Amino acid sequence: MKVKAFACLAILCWLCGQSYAAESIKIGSMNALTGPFGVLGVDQSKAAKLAVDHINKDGGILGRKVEILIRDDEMSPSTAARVARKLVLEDKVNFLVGANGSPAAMSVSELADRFKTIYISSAGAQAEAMTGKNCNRYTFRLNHSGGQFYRADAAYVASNFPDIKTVAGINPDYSYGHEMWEGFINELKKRRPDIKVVADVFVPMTEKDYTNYVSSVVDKKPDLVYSVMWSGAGVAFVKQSKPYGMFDKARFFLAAAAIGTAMNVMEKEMVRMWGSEPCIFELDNPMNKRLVSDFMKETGKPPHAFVTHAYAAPFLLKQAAEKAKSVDTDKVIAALEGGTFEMPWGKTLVRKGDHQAMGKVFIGEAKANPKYNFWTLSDVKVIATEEVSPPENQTGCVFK
Amino acid sequence: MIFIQFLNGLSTAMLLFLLASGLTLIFGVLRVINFAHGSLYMLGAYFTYSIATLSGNYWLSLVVAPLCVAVAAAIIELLFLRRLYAREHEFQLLLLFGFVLVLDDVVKACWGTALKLVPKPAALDGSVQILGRTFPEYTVLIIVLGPLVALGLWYALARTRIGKQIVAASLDRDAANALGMNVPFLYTTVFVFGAWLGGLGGAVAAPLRAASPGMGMEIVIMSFAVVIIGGLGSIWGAFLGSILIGEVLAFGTLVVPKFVVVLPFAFMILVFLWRPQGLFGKGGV
Repeated sequence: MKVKAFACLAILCWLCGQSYAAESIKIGSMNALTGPFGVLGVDQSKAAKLAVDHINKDGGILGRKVEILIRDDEMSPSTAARVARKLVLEDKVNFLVGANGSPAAMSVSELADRFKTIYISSAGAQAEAMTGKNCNRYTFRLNHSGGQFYRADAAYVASNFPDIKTVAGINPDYSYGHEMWEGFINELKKRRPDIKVVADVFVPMTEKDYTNYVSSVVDKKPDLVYSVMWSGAGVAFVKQSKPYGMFDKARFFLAAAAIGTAMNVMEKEMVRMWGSEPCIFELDNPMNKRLVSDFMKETGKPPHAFVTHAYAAPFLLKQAAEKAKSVDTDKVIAALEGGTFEMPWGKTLVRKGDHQAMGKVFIGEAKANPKYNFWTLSDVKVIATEEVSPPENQTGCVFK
Repeated sequence: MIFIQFLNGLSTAMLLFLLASGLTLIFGVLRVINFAHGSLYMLGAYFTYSIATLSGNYWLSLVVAPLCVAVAAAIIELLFLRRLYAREHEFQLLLLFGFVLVLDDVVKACWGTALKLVPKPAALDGSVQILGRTFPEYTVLIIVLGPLVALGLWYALARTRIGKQIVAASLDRDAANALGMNVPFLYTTVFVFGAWLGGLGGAVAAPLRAASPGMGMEIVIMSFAVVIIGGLGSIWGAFLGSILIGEVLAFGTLVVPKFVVVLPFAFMILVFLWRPQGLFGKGGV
């Protein structure tokens, strides 16, 4: 009798083990794990892994175990395309997430379209075209578009700094840097036509020595400097330009999530500046608190910049799949489109017309915080992205 | 503004010189193009990070980190490179390129991939006023350090016994060997000393540019341009070449920012067409 019971149990376990293993849902995650942008990518991968651990602890997606495959995209479009293709064709992943930098993310997006695989762009790629004229049915962007940021930044600057008259920009020399700077200035001039641009400097992304670029900005004595130098580039830039007096007179605005990395990495070397963030770690809700406490346990620091979005992406997929009651691509797309999802920064709509998520923008001044050994944003203003996004029918996005 | 930009150019130049002088010295004596020089520079920056954060004293790391790099270079020379002097140049290049890849991975394994920030020494963390403009104190240190190293090198090569032996070996290694000089020992000395200079470059650069894997590659390419402009094997050529490249970068950024990435190499090609042996190129050190 006993033997029979054991045999039954063994077979049962084997059976459910089989089905559990065979039907695990696979998510392919790509981030820049090396190079100057590894600062962000490594943390994002950790957060994505943490999300999957949390999901599995809570019973997986539709009762199935979730597996995450973490890969290095080197922030390069060609590597990202190669890695994504392998994830789809060889590893047979159900979903793709991540990809740092717009060039890499756009190449993953193209691939997602070709192989009809859902791709959640969640690593901070902000090129407007991704949910604009180059949009496709399989790509969804969970993080903000650059346009949401620069419109929010311009609105904040126009209403909070009425005294500024001259503006300068120092930005990375690729499509993103140009798009952000030009967008910001256009939006700012709509609100403040009297503002003059005194310098617009663009720095190659590969540059490590910014000293040659700093003088031509400081020398023009601008009232405000706008920059989207992100991740390691932003950190190195702030560090190098501080002794040139960059932050003494001008108000420095480090936009679009760059300030979070700077506050986090520079600790006590941080200087006075303002900036916009896609999320702040102090938000009081169970999902965010769970991320923050476990992420701090692992890394000693709260999640910064788009790390929260990397954590949120698997949860977006879980909620959409459970709404669709299936992981079938078409059904999940239908569930994502126009759906509202519970994210660490609050309820978030994913627009049907352009597949852009409507998060929030948090803008404030970086200040030393006695509670931590690093700086945090204070006097934070929360801007709803509905107010700063192009209307759904004007994005240029048409799904084939 | 122009003067400040000139000083910025000088600081880039002196950092380049620390690398280029080691490169040119190693080439002059060993006839080896040290591909791994950038990796040694990177090691210097990482050692500086570790020593400075552990001891809390940047000056200690400035002394110790280049010595650690020298030890690493001694291991590379004694155990690996030495076996290949008799072989074709391709083998040495392959070996050194192999070390580029290995050292990159060693750095990633030991320190991780995240950017490592080295705080500037407290005494030099501020700024000075130069002609009414704010300028970093630390950059002044670099500008002063470069010529000191150049003078020291010149003195060591022209006035000391071992320096004269090195010059002799670089001119004719067989004759030097026949005259009873210990040429293998000289080779090791020069390789290790050149690496020490590269490590010093890394240690000086660490507080200015954060340490990251792959940081050596760009600067070593720029240093090659310097060495070619100055003339392979010439210390003063490397010095002048560094200043030229540094200033081309500084003023290029000011005048034609769009083309600044190609300017040093366009300049190198011009020099190459006009004087293929470089400005000071003769062959020896």
